[in-house]
Amino acid sequence: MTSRKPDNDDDRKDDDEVEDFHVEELIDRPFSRLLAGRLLKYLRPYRRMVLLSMILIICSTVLTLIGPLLVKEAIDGPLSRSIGSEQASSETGALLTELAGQVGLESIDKESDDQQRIGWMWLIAGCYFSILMMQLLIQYIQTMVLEITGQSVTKDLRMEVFAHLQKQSSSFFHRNPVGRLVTRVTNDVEALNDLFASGFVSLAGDLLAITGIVAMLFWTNAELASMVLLVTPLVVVATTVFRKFARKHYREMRRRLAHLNAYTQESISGMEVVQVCRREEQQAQRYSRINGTLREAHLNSIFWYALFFPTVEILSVIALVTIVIQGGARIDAGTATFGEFFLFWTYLTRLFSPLRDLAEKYNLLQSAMASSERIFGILDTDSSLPEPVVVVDADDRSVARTGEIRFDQVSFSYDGKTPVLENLSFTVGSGETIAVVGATGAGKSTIINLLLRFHDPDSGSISIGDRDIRDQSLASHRERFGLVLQDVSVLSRTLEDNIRFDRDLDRDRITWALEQVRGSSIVARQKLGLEEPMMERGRTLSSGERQLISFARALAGDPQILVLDEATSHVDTETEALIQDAIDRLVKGRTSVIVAHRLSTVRKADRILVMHHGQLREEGGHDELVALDGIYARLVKLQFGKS
Amino acid sequence: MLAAGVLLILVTSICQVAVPRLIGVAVERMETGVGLDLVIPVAMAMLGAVLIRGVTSFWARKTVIGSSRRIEKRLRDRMFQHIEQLDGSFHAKLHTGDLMSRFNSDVEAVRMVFGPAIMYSVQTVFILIFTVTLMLQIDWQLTLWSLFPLALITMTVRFIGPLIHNRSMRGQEMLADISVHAQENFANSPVVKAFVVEDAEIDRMNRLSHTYFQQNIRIAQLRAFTGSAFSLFGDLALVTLLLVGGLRILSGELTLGEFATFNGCQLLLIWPMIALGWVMNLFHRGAASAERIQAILDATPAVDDSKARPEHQIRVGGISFDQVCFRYPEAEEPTLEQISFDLPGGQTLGVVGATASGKTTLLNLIPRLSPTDSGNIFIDQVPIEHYSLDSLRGSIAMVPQEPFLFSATIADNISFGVDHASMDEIVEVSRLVRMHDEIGKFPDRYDQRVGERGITLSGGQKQRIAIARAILQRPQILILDDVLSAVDSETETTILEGLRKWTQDLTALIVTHRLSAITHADEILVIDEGRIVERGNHRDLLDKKGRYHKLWRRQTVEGELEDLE
Repeated sequence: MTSRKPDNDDDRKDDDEVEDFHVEELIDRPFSRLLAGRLLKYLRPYRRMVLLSMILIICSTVLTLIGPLLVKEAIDGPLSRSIGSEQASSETGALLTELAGQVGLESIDKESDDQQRIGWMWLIAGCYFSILMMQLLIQYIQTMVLEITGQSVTKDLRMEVFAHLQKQSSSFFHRNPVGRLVTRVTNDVEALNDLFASGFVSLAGDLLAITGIVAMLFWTNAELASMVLLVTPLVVVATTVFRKFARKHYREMRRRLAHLNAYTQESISGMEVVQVCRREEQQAQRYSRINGTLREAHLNSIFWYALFFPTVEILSVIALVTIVIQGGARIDAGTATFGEFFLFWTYLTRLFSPLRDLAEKYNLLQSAMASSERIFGILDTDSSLPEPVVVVDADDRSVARTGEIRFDQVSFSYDGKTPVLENLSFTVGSGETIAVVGATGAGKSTIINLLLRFHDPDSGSISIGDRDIRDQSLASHRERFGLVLQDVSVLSRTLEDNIRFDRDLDRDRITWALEQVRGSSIVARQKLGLEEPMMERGRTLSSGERQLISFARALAGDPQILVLDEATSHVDTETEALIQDAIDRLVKGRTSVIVAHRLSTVRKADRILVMHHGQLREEGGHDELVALDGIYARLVKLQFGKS
Repeated sequence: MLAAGVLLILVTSICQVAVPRLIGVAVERMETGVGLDLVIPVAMAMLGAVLIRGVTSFWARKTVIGSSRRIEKRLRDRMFQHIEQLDGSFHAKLHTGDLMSRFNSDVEAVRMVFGPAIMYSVQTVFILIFTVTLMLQIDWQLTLWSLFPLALITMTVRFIGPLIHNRSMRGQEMLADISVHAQENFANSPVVKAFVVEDAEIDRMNRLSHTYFQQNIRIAQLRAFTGSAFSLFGDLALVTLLLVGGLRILSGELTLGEFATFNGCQLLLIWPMIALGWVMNLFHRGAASAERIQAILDATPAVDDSKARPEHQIRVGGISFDQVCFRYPEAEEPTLEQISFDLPGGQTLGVVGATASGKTTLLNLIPRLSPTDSGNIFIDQVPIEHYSLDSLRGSIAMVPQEPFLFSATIADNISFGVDHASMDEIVEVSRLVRMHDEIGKFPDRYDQRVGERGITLSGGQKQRIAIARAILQRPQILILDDVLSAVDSETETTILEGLRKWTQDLTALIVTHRLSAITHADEILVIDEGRIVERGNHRDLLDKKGRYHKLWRRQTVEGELEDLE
């Protein structure tokens, strides 16, 4: 958080605002062997695929190298009238001669007639064409193999992170903002996909192509090759410099675009306020200013692009000019042939793109390193609660069927310093409904968190049906509960799936649960009934309807114990009556713990626990507690209404 | 600007085509064996050509792409200014997300037309003209043979490009699904744990990941095909040249130098031929986007100053509704029917009714956030259309149901509606809404940023800041739409009492669910399904023992206690 200095003018302020947007994903990390090694392990299940694609890459590189050689053979062979048969001394030449022999062609010499030469041309073109077809096939298969490998690894990694997060305790989710965790399973994993699909293996492919071409150049004419290759380091340097600046500018653009988007979004959402306050002009001016900073960032980055492409072009023509002059001199002197001249020319055009790719791959590697570090950071933190060594099996759950809850001298603190609950003891009898009341921060929600074992108490014990909840597996413990939280979570799935919530429940059960909470009218209102997809956060539903859906969700599982954190948000009186009615039906015949905010709910409870600063201060029925004229009586006056 | 760009591209293209031509000349000279002395000038000419080309293409890019960025900026500015003029019905029809994609992907698509599409299409046309002329001068049949495989490249891009684009868009949607699932799962982790559905949630993620995986493979197939096709067709051009050109060399119709020229031209043409297909797609996409943008720019504001007369100014702020009806564009039922009432200046009107009974809609009509369908609204006996929007909205301050704060400082948020506000004034209104002490506890006090990058305020704090913003405008008419729902009733009472003192000759409209807030109102309207069902002051309404009375009893503790007996 940077505090704004008073003398900042408006433009500076905008720059400040630009600062923090999406910075995280733009951080780089230098190559680390440790991280790379760990990433490579994810390739292990696919090692056959990787091996296959390596072999295919080698084949395809070799095939790419052969094409230009054939052109050279053609130019120095059948197309040349000045040279003799000694030209066919190369490997390719020898192979071709053998092949030619099989189709009944003689080797070329000065006296060969046109018929022979034409036959040779057809032969060479035919070879080249078949190589092309092979190459098309190999390249396609190779790309697909790599792509499937990369995508599979990405998927594995995503699932590993997601599954790992499912096991984390509630405190983990308190520490880590949801948005950041979502980035781990989406953007960070995607960054690694780039690395797996086009990084590791095609890096090898590029290196192979470069080595192959350089080797061929030297093999053909070492002297000429060493002169021509002088420019290649320059290409690498130019590309590296360009990438560095382009990346810097790209980030700047991203940052400013994010800022512009945030501003646009905000202006659209707040349009009514803007219009009623007559601030249209000021808003538009500010928009134009932020928009202007984005334009400047774009214009700055054009410079580097405009500089880079011509530079590489100039370097490649310099290499070409070298071939023309040096090659020309050698052809003149008879130490080189026209075929070699063409060979150099063709190879050079094919050398530049893998060279440029190399710099690109390095950037890819850097952002992938940063992403993988963040992902491994998540995988290396494990805050899941300990499972018992001896799991109480299903038979023993019958003991717990009584559903009696006992808190015994429970103390707890979230940060290890400030106690939230102190020596809390109470019992809830089987089938009893208790209401927990108290001011904000009194520790009401913490009781729920401990009861469901989102955290374990620092001292004391919680038991259900005389059995410590830590002696049971988390799953069998939590399966007893139906939970309804304040913030109602309507998910973007169908209405039916929102109530089913991934459990194994049939439709009858869902319809029944909706009927029980008097929520059937919600279904009737939807075009597709139960199949109606819900918007994110249930935007199309009223707050009362959202509440009823979460009730139905809890009820559908037929829980033994109901835990309800009542919503505080204000709903109109009729909806409130509807909700109250639903709560009455929910608690019937179940042990229920309700963190209550409405007087009507509180009064209907069998017993009321009054929490104050982490301690249980009063306990009893409504009238009893009002008569006590203590904290509860004050709460009733303050919170539940006014006289 | 454009002419300069085209000229620069022209020079660039000439220099580009010069290189293969010069290589041809060089090879011819080598072939005839006239010696190195004649080759070196040709090489130097090549170097010269590429240097000139470097300079011109640098400027061409800066000119064309630069102007496209300027056009982009102007277009966005214009769109922004335009949507600011549009009324609520426009914003209700178009989701924020859709509007955002007009500002982003659609503007970008149009920008691509003015930038890269123009640059590369001009360049491609020039290069095609020059190379084809050059090649035709040498041998027209060989020209056709050489161009054929290259044309296949253009076709590949033209027809597979849009497929890749569509599949990628679909892929992005799938990634968004994954993101939504993760987001919902993490945000609701207590519920997920309590229902013990972690494994089912993992399964769901697995399914989503798998569809995304399959889509990516489908995209990869197309990419792999185009990638292989480019190198195939490029090499195919070489094979064709080798065979057809070779045979012509043998028959003496072609020299090796001319062969080299052809080879150079082919190498030169590969990228422009790819660009040609790409550019066609850009134009196609750009046209669709331009249409969508035009639709926004063509939307006419339903509320404007066409009937306004400058002499009208709001003085007292008396409001009358006469038979006002309103229906949302796509709704079947009208939201407001035959609403009539008279609110003399300086008085307070309370409005109550169930959720979605039309209260908010009624309030929105007064500052003309939406136009009425029929009936008239008068302020000081003058139809509201006769005031300019500036003078009408300048006299009204409105606090919407969902308080909206900008991600700026608290002081900026409070002073949003006025041109200049002194710190004293800001503090004064903050005191009035009982926020001053709380603001004092923030690390940066009034300079504390809120929202996206600042602190998160509670619902009640947001509501009070929104009220402070409204009263700082010192309006004649104050409209409060259920603005203190998240504040406890004691604070609410204090704030409302403070407001009453501050706003003695101010006309106020207060919508609320909490009846205690409007017991002092001069008149109260009870609205149900868009109609006024009861009206009168608090006492009258209680005596009527109707709907208002029922609501009142439910809301008071006494009422509840009576129910018990």
